[in-house]
Amino acid sequence: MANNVYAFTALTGGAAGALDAIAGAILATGDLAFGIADGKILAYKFDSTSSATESSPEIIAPDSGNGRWLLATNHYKMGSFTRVLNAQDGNVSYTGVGFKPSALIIIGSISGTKYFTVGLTSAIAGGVIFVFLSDSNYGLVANRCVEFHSGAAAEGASLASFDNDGFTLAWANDAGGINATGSCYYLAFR
Amino acid sequence: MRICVHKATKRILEMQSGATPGTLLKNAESAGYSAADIEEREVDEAGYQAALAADPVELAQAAALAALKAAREVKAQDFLDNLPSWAAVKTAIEGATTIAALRVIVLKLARVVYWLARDKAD
Repeated sequence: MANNVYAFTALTGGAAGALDAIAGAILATGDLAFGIADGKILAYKFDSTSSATESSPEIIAPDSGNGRWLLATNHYKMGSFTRVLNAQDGNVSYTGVGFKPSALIIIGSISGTKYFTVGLTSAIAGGVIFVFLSDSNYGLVANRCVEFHSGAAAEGASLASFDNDGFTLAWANDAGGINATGSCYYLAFR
Repeated sequence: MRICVHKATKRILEMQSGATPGTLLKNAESAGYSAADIEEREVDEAGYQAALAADPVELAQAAALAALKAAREVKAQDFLDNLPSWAAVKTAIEGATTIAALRVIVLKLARVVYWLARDKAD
């Protein structure tokens, strides 16, 4: 079945011309919508199975019916995760990015402490700069993108893979890791 | 956001802001947890805070941070009490004409030096 293409002049609000005013009942997976909103040219693809929480401009829910309009021109995605810093070594998958990234920026800390890590990675190379909690000096490690370091023990991660809906990090600890939870924010680039 | 909790200990094993359902369960099982021992659920910010408040490691960390904050406040107050301003210190020293008055000043200065050298109250 051929997909339909729609135009819009606003994203939400339900008025004529808004993307969310198009009834879900007439939409099918793969339908496209193009328009200008807030001064930007935007393109959306409809997913009739999605029930993701509406979050303009990334995810637009029709005011009636099921499914979601998913922004197709999004080139980055911001998210967050936590990591128990003395957990068993191994790979951890992070999903919900909406595309297969090609690069990541990850920053992290342990709330209320001076732990700090900022790292970058592509599929080819990565690196992280972090603070040794013991003396507040900076350290750096190539080919890792996260590093929490007490001075005596550490927990860090390198990129294992970029996946269709996110990425996988390979976590490993040194000297048993740290008995705390690290919180990280990431910016994934398409 | 989604969290994965170890049911017996209430420890939050992982949080992800936008993960697809099942991702965190799979991660925990890959780390050696039994599916029967863990639970993945979607929470809002209030639900996440409630889960943190039930996590024993997070509680211990919060208590340690609160104790550290209280100690810093004691230190700051001791500084204020003993060195309220340079004008006050200068006036006290210039006005001290007895050993007793000088002892009071020296004690105040020693209090601040002790904090700076040992970083503790006693």
